[in-house]
Amino acid sequence: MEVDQLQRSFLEYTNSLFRFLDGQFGQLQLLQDESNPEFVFEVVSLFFEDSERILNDLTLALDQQNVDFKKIDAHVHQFKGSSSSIGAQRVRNACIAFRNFCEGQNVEACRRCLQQVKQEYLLVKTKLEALLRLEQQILAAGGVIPMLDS
Amino acid sequence: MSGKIFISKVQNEYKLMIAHNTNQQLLVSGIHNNIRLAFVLLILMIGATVITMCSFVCFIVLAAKREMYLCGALINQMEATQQSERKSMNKSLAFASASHDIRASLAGITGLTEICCHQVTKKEPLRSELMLTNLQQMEACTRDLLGILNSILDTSKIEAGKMQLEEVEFDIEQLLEDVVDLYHPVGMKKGVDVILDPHDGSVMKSTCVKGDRGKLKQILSNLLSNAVKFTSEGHVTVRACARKPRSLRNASNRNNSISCLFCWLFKNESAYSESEVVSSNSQRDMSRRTEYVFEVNDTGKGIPKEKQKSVFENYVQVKETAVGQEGTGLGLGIVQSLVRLMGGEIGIVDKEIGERGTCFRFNVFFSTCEPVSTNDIEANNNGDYISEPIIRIHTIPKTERSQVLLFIQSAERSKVVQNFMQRLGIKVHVVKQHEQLSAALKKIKRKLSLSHHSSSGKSDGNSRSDERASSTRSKEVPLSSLDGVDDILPSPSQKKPNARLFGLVLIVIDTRAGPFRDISRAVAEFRRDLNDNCYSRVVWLDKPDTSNSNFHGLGEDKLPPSDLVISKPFHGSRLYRIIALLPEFGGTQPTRGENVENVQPRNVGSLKTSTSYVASKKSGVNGKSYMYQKSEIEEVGGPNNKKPLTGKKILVADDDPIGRKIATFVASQLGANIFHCENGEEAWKLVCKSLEDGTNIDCILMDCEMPVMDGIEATSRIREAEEIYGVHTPIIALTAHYMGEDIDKMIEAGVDAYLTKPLNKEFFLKAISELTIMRYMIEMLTH
Repeated sequence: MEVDQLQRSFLEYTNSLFRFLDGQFGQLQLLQDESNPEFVFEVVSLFFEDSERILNDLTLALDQQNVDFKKIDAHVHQFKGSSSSIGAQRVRNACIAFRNFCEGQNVEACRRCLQQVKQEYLLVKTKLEALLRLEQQILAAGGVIPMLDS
Repeated sequence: MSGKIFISKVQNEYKLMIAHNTNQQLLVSGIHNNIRLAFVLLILMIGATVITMCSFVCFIVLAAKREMYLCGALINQMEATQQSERKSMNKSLAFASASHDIRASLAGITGLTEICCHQVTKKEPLRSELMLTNLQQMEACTRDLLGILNSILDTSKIEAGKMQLEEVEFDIEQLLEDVVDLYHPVGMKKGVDVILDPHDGSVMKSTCVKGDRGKLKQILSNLLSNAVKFTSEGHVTVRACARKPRSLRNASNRNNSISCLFCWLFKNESAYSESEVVSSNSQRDMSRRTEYVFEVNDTGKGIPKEKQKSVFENYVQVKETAVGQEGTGLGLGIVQSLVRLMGGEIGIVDKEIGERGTCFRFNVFFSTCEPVSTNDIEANNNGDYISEPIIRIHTIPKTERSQVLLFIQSAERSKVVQNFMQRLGIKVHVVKQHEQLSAALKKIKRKLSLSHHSSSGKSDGNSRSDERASSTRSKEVPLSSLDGVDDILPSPSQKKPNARLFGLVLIVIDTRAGPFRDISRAVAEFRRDLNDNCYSRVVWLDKPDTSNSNFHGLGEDKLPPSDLVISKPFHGSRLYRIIALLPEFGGTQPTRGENVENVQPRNVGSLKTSTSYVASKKSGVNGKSYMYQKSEIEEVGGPNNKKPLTGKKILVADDDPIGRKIATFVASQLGANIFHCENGEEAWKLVCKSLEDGTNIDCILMDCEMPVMDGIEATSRIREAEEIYGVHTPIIALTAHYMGEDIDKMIEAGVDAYLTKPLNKEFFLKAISELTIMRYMIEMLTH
């Protein structure tokens, strides 16, 4: 495919992501430059790893007999932090809701929240993966990843 | 005969009787007379009483009538007043709602003109000049309309007593700079220089305050626009200084004695305790409030003495000078009301004889954002400044101090900058005309080479350098701040006399001050044979619109990359940044092509500062302030030469791996050495270790919420540890978006600034550089 087309679809795709990724992600993209072309990729991969780990921990913790709400709260807080650092606002909002239910110590509601958070995470993961794939394609075709105006 | 006797007897009797009768009659008539008199008198008395009573009654009746009449009139009057009040209230309400609509329409017009502008430039960029100017003028007109509407609204709001003051945190220094920069181009067009005078720098210490930023900006803008409007030549200077409110000191003494007096006079225990409570309350309230005095001084036409009082009354413009000037005359009235609302007063200051123009001075009260401990208040007996005893150790001997040469076109600005620098203890030379420039530069070069030669000798070098020092001493301005200077402590550089570092020679040149060819020639000559140990840097002050056009003539490769070009007016943050280039204030020596080892700024580890300077920077969320303008100060060689944070050690504490990665990345892009940790406890341990080793950390980026020990506790522990060593490491708090409450706690724990995550390179750079500059400057100024 032509570089222009790729770049255009990249921009369109990025614009369509505004509901999932907020301004923080844009800041991250701005930080990437020629001397560090893999920065966004590294950050996103780190995010995936970290999130899978936290989600696993959360699932385990909620499956216990005696649910330790404090630990769950700590995990959710961490997830909230990392998702807001990368700009995944829907995940972050789901985490905020999760924390409220944690305070209420309601196991069923927490399980539902966890499902919600997982869903949001999977959504944003697919979006990010698609974005990264487009970036790779542009780079492979010899083009430059276009910068967005805010 | 008996008849005759009888007749005579009768006659005698008759005579007697008659005599008796006449006596009686006399008596009776006498009595009758008396009775008549008495009767008359009685009647008179009764009459008088009756008349009195009647008149009394009449008076009472009259009075009652009058009272009733007055009552009625009063009631009518009150009704009338109430009615007119209601009318005016309704009028203001109607006005307010109408103005809402007016503002909406004006906003619509502005928006539409903007759209037109865009469309015009997009469709026909080549032929749209005329259309664009028309549209821009329309926009200007709508802006003016909006301004007039706002000032009318403000007046009516103030009259209705409905004006409320906001409470936001803001930075006074930044506000002053913004306002002055706003009016600077307008002034320059008329040939009037608009200068921000840092004065004694007292505002720098308590620059972060809580109050109404918008209103203060309004006041300053109004005064400045008046000053610029009514001045056709000369300058307009804005000055500010911060003081502890005077009443506090006297009041605390007075209150106690008065309350004692009361106690004794009235023998009333409760009165004493009440007044005590009152005085302690007011002390608590006043303890956080500082008085800020602002002055706007111009060299314009001036206001005649008789009119001085009346300019503050609404709608009065000083007529002789208002010919051809616009303005509704509302401004100063609003300004006075706003100043009074903030607890202060505004007035016109008399000038010296021979000086023309007007000087407005006003004071307002704000509460500062720093946590003020009670020790500060008690220790403050006579000082007007919030100062702390600071031990300053000047490790740089006099011959090696930096010098600054100023060649600024505007004489007043030159004087202002010179005074400020001299206050800081910097040696300043001033050149007034371009012919003197080369002579002054030659003199400096000669002195430098002489002192270099004299001190390069080993043992007698020291005595000779003292001699030189004494000859240069006569040139210096004696300042009380230089008292500690004569102590020359052994500095590590004395072990290797060849690698001695000389102070920087900073040359500040205004490119408009003379023919550019001559100036650049003089500077090039100065730089030509400068020996290796003397560093020099030139700062070019340029006009904002020409921007480097002078240098295109020269060719950029002819200017060394360490030179700077400033295209904004030389005051405020630009001035501080230039001062920060000097090694005494934390500047690093510029590279000279070869790999000179990077000189660390003087280790100020032995300084004790117990007030933490807090700069609150709301970046990201409220992004309009603190956008780092790259065009303000450009390195001539381009931004790629030296990474700004090279050699600095920065600690990043964040539990979130992504946040950590981002912060690490940003800081390393700026050239710093990073090491990181995952929670507050590790951070604290690392800091303690570095304090023991003596390897200082230059900056700490502390996340607020972390497991094991959070940022707040870590910060307080670090500050405690630092007190023992007398160090103060700049700590910048990192918060995610919705962490408003934590910010206050972090500030109380002792952070110096806060930024939002993810770390933005430019905000971070700005924060660090400002912290460094401010810290050095405050230490220098608070002797």
